[in-house]
Amino acid sequence: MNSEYLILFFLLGVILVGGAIVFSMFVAPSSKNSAKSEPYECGIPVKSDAWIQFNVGYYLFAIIYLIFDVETVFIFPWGVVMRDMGLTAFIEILVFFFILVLGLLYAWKKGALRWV
Amino acid sequence: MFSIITIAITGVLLLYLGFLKNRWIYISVAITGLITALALSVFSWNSLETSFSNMLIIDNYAIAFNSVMIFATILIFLLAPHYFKGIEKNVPEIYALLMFSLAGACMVTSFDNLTMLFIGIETMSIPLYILAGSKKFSIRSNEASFKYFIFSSLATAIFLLGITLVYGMVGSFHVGDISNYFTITKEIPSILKVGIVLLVISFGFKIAAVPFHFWAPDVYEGSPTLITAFMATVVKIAGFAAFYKLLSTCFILVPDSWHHLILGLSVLSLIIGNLAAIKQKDVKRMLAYSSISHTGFMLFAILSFNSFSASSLLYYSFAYALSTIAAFGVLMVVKNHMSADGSVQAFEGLAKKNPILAIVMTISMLSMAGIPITAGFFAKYYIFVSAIQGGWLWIVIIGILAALVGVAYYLKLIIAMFAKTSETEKIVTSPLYITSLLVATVLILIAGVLPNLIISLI
Amino acid sequence: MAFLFYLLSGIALLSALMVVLSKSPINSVIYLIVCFLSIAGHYILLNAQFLAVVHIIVYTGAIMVVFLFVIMLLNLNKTNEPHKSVLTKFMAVISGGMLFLVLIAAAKGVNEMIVAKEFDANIGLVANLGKVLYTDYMIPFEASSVLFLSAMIGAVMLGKKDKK
Repeated sequence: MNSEYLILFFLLGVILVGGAIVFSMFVAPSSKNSAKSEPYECGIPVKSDAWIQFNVGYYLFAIIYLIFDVETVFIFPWGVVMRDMGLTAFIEILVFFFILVLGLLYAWKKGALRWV
Repeated sequence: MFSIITIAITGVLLLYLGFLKNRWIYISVAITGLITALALSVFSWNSLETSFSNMLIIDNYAIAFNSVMIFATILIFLLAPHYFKGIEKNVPEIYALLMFSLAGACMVTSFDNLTMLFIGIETMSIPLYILAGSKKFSIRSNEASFKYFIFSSLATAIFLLGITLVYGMVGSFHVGDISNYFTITKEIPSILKVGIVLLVISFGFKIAAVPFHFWAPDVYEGSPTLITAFMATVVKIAGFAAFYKLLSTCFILVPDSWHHLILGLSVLSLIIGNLAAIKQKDVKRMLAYSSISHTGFMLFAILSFNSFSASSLLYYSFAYALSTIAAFGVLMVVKNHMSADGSVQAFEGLAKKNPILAIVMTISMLSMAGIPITAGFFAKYYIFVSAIQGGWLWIVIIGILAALVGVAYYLKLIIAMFAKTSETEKIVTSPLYITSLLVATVLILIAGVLPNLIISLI
Repeated sequence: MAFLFYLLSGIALLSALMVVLSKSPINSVIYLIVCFLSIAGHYILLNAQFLAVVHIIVYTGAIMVVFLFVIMLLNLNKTNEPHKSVLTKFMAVISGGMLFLVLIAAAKGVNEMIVAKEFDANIGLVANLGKVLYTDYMIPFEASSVLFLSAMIGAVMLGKKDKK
């Protein structure tokens, strides 16, 4: 497939979705009042600002997730060329995998995966 | 190559041995691993290894610098048990991260491909961002970690842009291809020169040369002293080895592009490093500025490429590493024991009750100042000879003046230790600690008396 | 193709500018996502579909999530941003502008130069990437696992709540 089509497809998606939103803005009837601009329209009063300090645990999980996300990026090309490359590439990816699993085991044993 | 693998495996082992909660097990494993790595590195002397798809080239140059770095790390690890006495949290992690950083440093010195250089620099730096902040509840340590991270990642971004521009023009990351390009091409495009300048700037950050030094005093002061000792020795030596290798193999044929930059970095580091060091009250900050002025001296080797400059850089690195570790070693116990702020006053009258510590500190200060029969004298001598051979007489004169200024603040500390009398008490240290300090001191003297042992290596 | 290139570059530049200019850090993150998406578009133009997808998954997906978490963790309110003096801003503009000028001046002659290597249109495909990664770039690949491991240790060490 040619990449121009891919981009055209992408742009078409953006235009269609954006167009639908803009179109509904003009067509749909609208009435505004103060109750409607609150986060929960169904009646629960807002207690405080949405800007609260997050637990550091979120960050920890996100970082560990990120590392394994990057790992999949490395594994995908290996999967594509697995047949051609044979045993060497297999051993390479095993070593890579092993070291990262060691890291995960460490985090697990340290109790970093437990939600406090 | 095997020595790098050994270091990395020791790091992983340390990580898991940490669950045993026995600090003597992990320190002995760490030292054993490092000695094995040092032996593997030394025994591969004269056997050129290049068979990694041109990624690493482990020649005598790389082996010599790797051995110096591994040896410096052994000395630092000998200091560690006493330093971490009473602290149980995260000690094995700190050891493991030091190992990973050392593995990165060994990759940096032996790169044969700019990709490898990049990965090596990152493997060396990322553990250091964490280590600088390893005193989690000290605000200074947090500040040091954050500052180091911001500056260093900016430097890495500049480095990547430089690599990109070089790759865009040359079409290869490989060191040999890049130097071939310059032998073939006569008219060098200006964008390529910009790339080289960016690479020089990023290395200026890494080795803390003026005007890219602003992070160094704060980071050195805020980090735990053991980590500072590691940063000031291993990381700096790795940075210099890589910088020298990059310029001498890739870009030596580029006319009039980076020489002026190196000249400026060197002169500014000498002047500002020394002048700022005089004014410091805090010994750790003073050592940070003195390390900046040593950067200025070490840049002489890069300025004057000849057959002599690599070995003079090696000798300087060795002498500098030994005296820095000895100085930080004494500083660590004095600062901890006297519950002082680590200013010069804390050292007053140290010689009365703690003669060994005072003598170690004196010899290390004399070596840093470049007084004869210490290694520092021949380090400066060889680096000056190398610069004169390269035709840089006037910069040697600036260097000598800077060294004279340097004597002033090193002497200030020595005088405080010996002449002033004030109430101090005996500082108790562990035998390992004293061993490390004495080994460093004796080696400073041996290298000062028999400089040929090292200078004739490469 | 050329039109798409200029369009994507324009979007990337504008959104990158907005990252710096917008007041709220959350808005900056959103603009950064737009910037990354347009760069992914550039990868597709270079026929490197795998890189484009990876760029979206890793950067716009994972890294932006970490950015948001960190912003929420730091609890950056709009009021406590330190005021920067006019002199600082002036110096920043001057030095940034000088770097810009130098880069523009250096890049001016690039069009007329001989390119070192012809562009191979298939170089970005995932099979070629895999072949190069697992043969020539084997050592950096394995070294990067040590890098990830130390990053993970660091996150656990610094991020985990210690009992004092």
